[in-house]
Parts: sequence; structure tokens; C-alpha cells
Amino acid sequence: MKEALAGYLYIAPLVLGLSLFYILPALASLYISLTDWNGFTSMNWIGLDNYVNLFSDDRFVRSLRNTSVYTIIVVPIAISIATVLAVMLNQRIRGVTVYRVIYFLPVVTMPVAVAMIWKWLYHSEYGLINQALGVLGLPTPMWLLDQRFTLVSIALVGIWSVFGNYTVILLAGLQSISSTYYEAAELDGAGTIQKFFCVTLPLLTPSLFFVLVISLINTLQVFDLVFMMARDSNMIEASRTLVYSVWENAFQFTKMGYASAQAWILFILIMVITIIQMIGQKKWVHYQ
Amino acid sequence: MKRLVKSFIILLIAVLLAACSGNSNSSGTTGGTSSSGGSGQTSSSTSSGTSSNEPAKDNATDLSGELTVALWDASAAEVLNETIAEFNKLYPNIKITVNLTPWSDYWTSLQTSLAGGAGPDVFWMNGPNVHKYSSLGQLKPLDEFMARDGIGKSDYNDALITLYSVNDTLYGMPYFSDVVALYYNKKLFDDANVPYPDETWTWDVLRENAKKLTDESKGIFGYIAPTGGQIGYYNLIHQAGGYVISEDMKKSGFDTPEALEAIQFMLDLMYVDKSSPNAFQQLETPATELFASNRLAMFPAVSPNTKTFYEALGENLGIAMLPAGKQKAAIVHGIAWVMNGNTKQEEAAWAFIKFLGGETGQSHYAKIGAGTPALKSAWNEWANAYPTLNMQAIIDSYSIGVPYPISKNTAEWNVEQNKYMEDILTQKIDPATGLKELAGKVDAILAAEQ
Repeated sequence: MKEALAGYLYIAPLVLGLSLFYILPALASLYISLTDWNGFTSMNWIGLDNYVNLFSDDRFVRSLRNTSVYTIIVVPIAISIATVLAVMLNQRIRGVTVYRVIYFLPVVTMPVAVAMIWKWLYHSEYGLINQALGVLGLPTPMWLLDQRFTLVSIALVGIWSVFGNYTVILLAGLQSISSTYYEAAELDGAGTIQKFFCVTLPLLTPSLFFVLVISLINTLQVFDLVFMMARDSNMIEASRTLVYSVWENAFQFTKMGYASAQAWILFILIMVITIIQMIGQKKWVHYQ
Repeated sequence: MKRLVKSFIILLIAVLLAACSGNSNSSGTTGGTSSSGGSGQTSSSTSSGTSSNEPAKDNATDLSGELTVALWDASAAEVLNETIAEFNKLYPNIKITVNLTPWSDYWTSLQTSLAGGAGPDVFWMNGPNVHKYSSLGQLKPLDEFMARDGIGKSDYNDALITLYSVNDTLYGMPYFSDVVALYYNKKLFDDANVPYPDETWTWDVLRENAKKLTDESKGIFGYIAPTGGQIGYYNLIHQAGGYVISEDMKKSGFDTPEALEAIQFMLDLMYVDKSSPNAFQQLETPATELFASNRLAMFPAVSPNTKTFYEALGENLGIAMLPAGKQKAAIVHGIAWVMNGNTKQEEAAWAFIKFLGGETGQSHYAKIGAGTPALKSAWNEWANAYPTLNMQAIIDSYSIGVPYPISKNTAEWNVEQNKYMEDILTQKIDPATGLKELAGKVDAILAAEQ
């Protein structure tokens, strides 16, 4: 009994901090989402009005759609690249540490700096990308300004800036696979491809599952890239995400209640997706 | 063990309480660098005590308190420290803490701290936000203080008084202003043998000369018709005789024939004459970059840019009034100091605000040579910051000044305005249709404000 109490005391600082700075504000925002609070004056209870209004707000619907498209582009591609790279970086090649650093660099670079540099790369006249395409005689589209491409262009930057992170996690997963599995596979006459699909991939699934969960959560909350690259123009309409809309309503339009409702929709969305993944993992994740 | 548990709990409670009380003291100072300006109690005397705007010394020393002031501009914060030093000679018992928050976080942190019932006592306000903050009861009206201390509104830039008056009540002490003027590159004019712009220029003269100045092979544009409101179509709409938001803030003027004329003028320059970068080019390359690299001959820009332009072009920089359409007009905006509606130190806050708007505060600000001081009597001193430039053109522009268009929820209709204007100027939709739809959206937002 005493021991249990001591245990609770040990976790108390974290629990208190978490409740004070995460759980209480989250509950407060649930309450705020049911009011018309403007951030200053008193709150009026308006029930589910905010939630009802959301779905006739074409900006919100667009941000829901953009967030989904962005996630569908970024998550699979980033994880695929990360998996392939992790396997390659797991080889014993000369200067492997240098490559690991290079692939990890985008992760530690400030998103603001990343966005600024990519904005220049995407410049339709002077940008490096279109200069190169021009030399090759290929079409030179307006990557950001042409609203058909805006979201995809930003998603490419999104992929570039996260895959290094996933690569490192998967690399750690690869290194924990015991070499005895490979020896056994070799004895049975498995080739490189077979070893990858029958040994590496199944044993990597716990790491892959982890990466999938966090990448979905992070990607659904994308804000900084969109904010930095598209906010000055109508590009934002082609690329506004849920968190951007939350920010806009809360701090540009001072509609705290409405913004909180949007935040809760995002929370529910992320929770449902995560629960589905937790259930689904039983079918494809193999623990050693 | 029991004692250990007990003492642990007590410790926790103590920490929590400390955290809470600390919080209420420091909220509102998020993200700012603080510096105390209270060191200026030296014996050197200046002319500040003789100014009519400042109170007699005897009651001054009675006022005491601690004020927090907030702003977003670093160079203004530097001068502010000078002003505080002078202020403290008169009011040695008022301690002032400067809270500098970068623009990107300013409104977010201001909003959060005000909502918590705290926030700075005195802070910077801009036009688009003054209605919102005053209608939410976050600002203290200044009229009574001004009347009591005999400060005349007419001593200040009229457009700023209009901008910061809500229902005829003044909520801000104008600090400095900017106006849109026509900046030009003398070298490009000389090369093309075109006379420099002056106050006789009209849209037609502008259009003709812009064509002559344009040299596609060198990538030089004669003029830029900016896609933005403040330096772009707001001016043109007023010059055409129209308006952006009606004076009673109930109607937008985007669907008037005057607005259409202004937008058509921009489209002609961009796509017919090609003497201005088109909307796509403008979205990708900032006009300041073109102008600073000698690839843009004329650039309507806000006056605080003078410093940057002068650094880039030196004596090749020229300044003129904006060309006239049916009439002359130039958008005026500016910054004012406002008082927190919930401040507990009204008198101290007012004393400081009055000082900032008084001769000393205004003359300090004039020295930066950026925004024009709001107090008209400080204009000469300000113009001397650049003796070789035609600063008179900027001062003259105030006489044709039109206040920046605002309403209670400026940000909300700005979103619609920016969206439609970009579609129109990138030729995605036809101007007449676009402007009509835009007017409908803005009118609906304005109606909801009432």
C-alpha cells in the first residue's frame, strides 16, 4: 500500500504537469467549442451550433479535403522511401555515417527555413527546378501558384522534411533484427530479394507500425509548411489544412468557439484513425 | 514514510501555488525582451519640461506605478527607451517595462494576455484591429483625458484621428503614420529620357511613360500596379472617385463602376501594355526586390520604406505624389498607442501615452526617419532625416490622404477581398463578375457586424 502511494508520488509531477497543461486545456476547449466565445468577452452556450455550421463552411470542408489528400500523399511515400533508405543505410558501406547525417539533416532544419528555400526552388522563372527543366526542354509549370499543383508541391516538401526521421527509427528497428534469421534464410537458399520480403519486412513491422501511427498523427496536423509557403495568396485555398483553419479562426477572426470545434473534429479524426490502426495491427504486425 | 509523503505533498502544493501566482504576474510578457528604462534620473535638463503637452512638475512626482508597454517594432523599441528615460525625469516613480514581441506573435500573445484579464497597460494598435478591440471593451477611450489636459485632435494627422475613432470616440493616441507615395528610380528615367513624375501626373501620363520606361530585353518594368490593397487598388479606387468601405461601414464599394475602372486600369498595365509585372510575377517576386535591383522604374510604396530604398538606390531615389485619376488620393495608415481597458493604473498609463504623443516622444520617433510622426509640428524634423530627398512629397501626400479602410472584422473580409482580387488580377475570373461577387460577400460580413 505504502509502496503504491510512493509510486503515485513519483509519477505525480508528470501527471500534474500533463493535466495542467494538456488535459485541462483540452477539456476547456471542448467546453469552448460549445460556446460562441470570441476570446475576450463572456461565453454563451450555443450547443452544437459550431459543429453544425462546420459542414456548411466550404473553407472547412476544403481544409478537411486538403488535409486528407496531403496525408495520403505524404505518409505512404515518406515511409516507403524511409524503408528503402534504412535498408540501404544498414549495409556496411564506406562513409555510411555521412549518408545517415545527410538524410537526417532536413529533420533538424527549421521548418521556416525549409519553406523559404523551397519557395525559391519552386520559383517559376528563377527557381532551380524550372531552370533545370527548361534546359532539358521540359514544361516549366508554376509549382506553387498553379492551384492544381500547390498541395502536391507542398506535400513533396513535407515528404522531404520527414523521411529522415522515419529512416532513423526504421534503421534502429533493422539493427535489432538478429542475424540468425538471415543465416537460417541463407541456409535455406534465400536470395537478397527473398530475404528482404520474407525476413526483413516481417520483422520490421513493429517499427513500421510505430512509424505509421506517428506519421499519420503528425501529418494530419500539418501547419507550418502551408503557413509559410502559401498564406500570402489564393494558394492557401488550394492548400489550407485543418490546423491552418483552426489558427485562422482562433487568431485572425477571434472565433475561439468555432476554432475549438474544428480542433475537436481533428482530434476525433486522429483518434478514430489511430484506433483503427491499433485493431488492424493484429493482422500484419509480427512481434519477434 | 508517512512524513516523507506528507512533506512531498506540501512541497507540491507550494510549487503549484508559486507557479500560479508567478503566472498572474508575468502573463503578458510572453516572448518579449524586457528592458527597464528607469535609469534616466540624471540631472541634465532638456526642453521637454517646457512643452505645452506636458503637465506641471508638481503633480507629476505624485504619480507612481509600474507600467508594461507592448509593441512589435525593434527600431521603435530603441527610441522608446530614450523616451522613457526622458519621461522618468518628469515621473521618477513610474517604472516602465518594454515588452517587444515580434509582429508574427504580437496579436496572438496580446489576445491571450488580454483574455486572461491582464496584458500590457499601454500597447501598439493598428487600424484593422482597433474596431475589434474597442468593441470588445479592451480599450479605454481617450477623449476625456484629452479634453481634461487640453490636447487638441487637430494637432495630429487627421487621417489617423479618423482611423482610431470608433463612433466618434478616440481610442488611440496617434504615434506615427505612413502614406503611399510614388517612389522612382532617377537613373532609369534618365536612361529612357522620360521626365520625372510630379504632382501634375495623371493616370494617362503614368500609362504612357510606364510604356516608355519598360524594357523587356533588360527585364525592366516601367511601373508596378501592386496586387495588394494598401499600396495597390485601395489608392486607385479612391483616385477613380470610389470607396472601399463606406463611412458608416455598412457597405463595400467593390461593385461600383469606379472600382471596376481602377481594376481595369491595373489589368491593362499588366496584360495589355505589359509595363507592370503581372499578378503571377508579383506573387513570386517581391516588388521591393525588383525596385532595389534597378529593374523597376516606379513603385507606389508606403513611406517607411524610404530608408530601405535610399540604402539601395542612394541619390537615384526620387519621391513624388501618386498620380491622379479623377481625383488625387493616397491611403494613410498609422500606429497608435492605446490603453488597456482593464488597466488599474489609468492615470500613469495616460501620462505615458500623452508623453509619447507629445513633442518629446514625437521628436524621438522622428529621428528614425521611418514613419512620419503623427504630431504635425514634428514633421519638419522628420523630413530632415533625408535632406537630399524630396520628403515634401510625402508630407504633401497626407493632404490627399484617405484613411485605410477598416471595420469591426477587417481580417474577415480581407480574406474574401484578397481571394477575389487575386482571381481577378490573375485573370481567372472576369473583373465585373468578380467585383460584384466580392461586394456581396463583404456586404454580408459587414451586415453581420452591425
